Amino acid sequence: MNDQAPILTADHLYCGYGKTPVLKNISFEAQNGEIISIIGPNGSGKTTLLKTLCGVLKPRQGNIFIKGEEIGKLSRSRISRTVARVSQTIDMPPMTVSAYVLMGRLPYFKRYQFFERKADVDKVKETLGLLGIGHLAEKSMDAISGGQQQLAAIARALVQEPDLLLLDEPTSHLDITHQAVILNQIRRLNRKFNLSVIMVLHDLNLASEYAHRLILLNGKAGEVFCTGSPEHVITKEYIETVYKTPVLVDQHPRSGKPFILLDG
Amino acid sequence: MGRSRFITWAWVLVFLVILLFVVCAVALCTGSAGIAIKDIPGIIFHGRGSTDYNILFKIRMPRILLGIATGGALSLAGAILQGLFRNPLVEPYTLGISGGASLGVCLNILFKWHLIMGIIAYPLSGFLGALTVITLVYLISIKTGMVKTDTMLLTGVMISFVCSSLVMLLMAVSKSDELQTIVFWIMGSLDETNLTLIRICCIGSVAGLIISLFFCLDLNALSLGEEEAMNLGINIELSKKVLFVTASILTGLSVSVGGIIMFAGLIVPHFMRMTVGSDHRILLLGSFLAGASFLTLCDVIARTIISPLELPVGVITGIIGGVVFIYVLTRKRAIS
Repeated sequence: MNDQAPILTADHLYCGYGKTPVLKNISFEAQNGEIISIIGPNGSGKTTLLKTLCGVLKPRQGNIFIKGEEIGKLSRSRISRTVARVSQTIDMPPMTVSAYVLMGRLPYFKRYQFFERKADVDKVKETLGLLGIGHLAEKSMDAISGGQQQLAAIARALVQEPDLLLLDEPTSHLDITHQAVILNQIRRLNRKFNLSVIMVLHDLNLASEYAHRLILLNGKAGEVFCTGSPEHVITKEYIETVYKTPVLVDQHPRSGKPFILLDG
Repeated sequence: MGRSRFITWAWVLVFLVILLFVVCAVALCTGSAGIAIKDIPGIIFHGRGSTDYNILFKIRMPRILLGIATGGALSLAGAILQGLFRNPLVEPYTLGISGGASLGVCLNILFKWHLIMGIIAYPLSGFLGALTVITLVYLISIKTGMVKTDTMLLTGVMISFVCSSLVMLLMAVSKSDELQTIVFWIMGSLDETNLTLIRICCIGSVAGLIISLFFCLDLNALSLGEEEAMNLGINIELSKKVLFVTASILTGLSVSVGGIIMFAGLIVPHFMRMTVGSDHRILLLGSFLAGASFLTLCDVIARTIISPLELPVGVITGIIGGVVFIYVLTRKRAIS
């Protein structure tokens, strides 16, 4: 892998499950240390795109490069050491938070290695502390709140020591307190470790606030409608065209980022 | 986390090994010719050639070995399948794999493949039958995109029915001596005199254990779901293939030698899960050891309970297992 190359390059991707592709002709580059948010109406293929980007779903056409290397030529564990994904719904296994997070170290295990090393355990402790859920380590995953589960899932992704973090609606079903906790953590990690992030967000205001760059997917067509800074993408004209709903666009009083309200 | 868990695991293993030794000792000295446990060392060291020596080494010992091998194999197959399908009700019997294996073995008896290939034809045909069914069940249950556990269990039960109907069809068209072989074999018994078959069974189940242990972490990751396992860097296609084939070998072996032994693969992993948790690093080895003890013990019960007559061991495991199955089913409902 080439550290100078963009962390991820999508090259004319066509992806989907059945006969007709959900997404067509998707091309973009994610630079190192960039936070990108994928936005678009329900069913526009945001989750599908995220799955394709980390190689869980094979693209029907086109190619993905991770640090300049073709994804198909990398082994699963090699990919997982560079790209980590937190999926939208987490299947809660009956295990402790620390055991769950420790699974994130699996890409570093060798085939004949059965037990975690001390470094793995330390990494888990450190990450739980970093996200402020160190006190939950020995709690069962199904006994903690939704927000805490989301944080644990992010912790599991972070112990993979990825350069790129893919998040699928990290704030869905969460109250505003937890929305802020999670997104501020992600912003902090991005600034502190230069972690690149691609996240799917439903809430356009959160996307505008936290992302450096937005990729707006066009619902039915399954193509990128436009991409660019929040100021460029979140405009009355673009949003009304894609979402087919009248909106008002204003400025956030503090950050100056575009801010959206439903209009009638 | 860490040390204390490994110490617990070590104690569990020590306990299971001791349990297995105790059960084996009990099995060695139970039978129509009563041999007291205190006489056994004397017979082993000085009694070569005596009747008691022959009973111990030609009759009881092979039977115990077979009990260990098939009991371990079935429980291990159950633990592997429960992990792969993420469902505690899955086992070789409920998935119809045992049925497939038995159909394979019946075909073998009927078409006399063992005359051409030798004794290996039994385990081989069992394995092929098992592998066919496991592939079929898996393909049907993932057709909808993800593994639907209800569909899968129903599919398994239906395939089981189809297989037993086909076995009956084969019995109906077979000649009387073949019929007798099939009936005798289906009843499920550890009374096997062919040493080669016992050897194959022992080696096969230990090999299955070793292979599956290399994939215990993959099974742990798969417990989060297939996509999550991929996110964790697991080559799931390879893991699934290896584990399905291993489970088929284990089931095929035990069915071809011991006949259909119901539910052994369900009860043991379930109790292991309740006691040591669902980490496959301990679950696989623990299930193997506990399954070995369980089946050997069931066999002791089967051959003593209405002595001098002998019950098929499948009857004992079937009764215990059926009750446990219903219990697990109701408990699962209560939780969800």
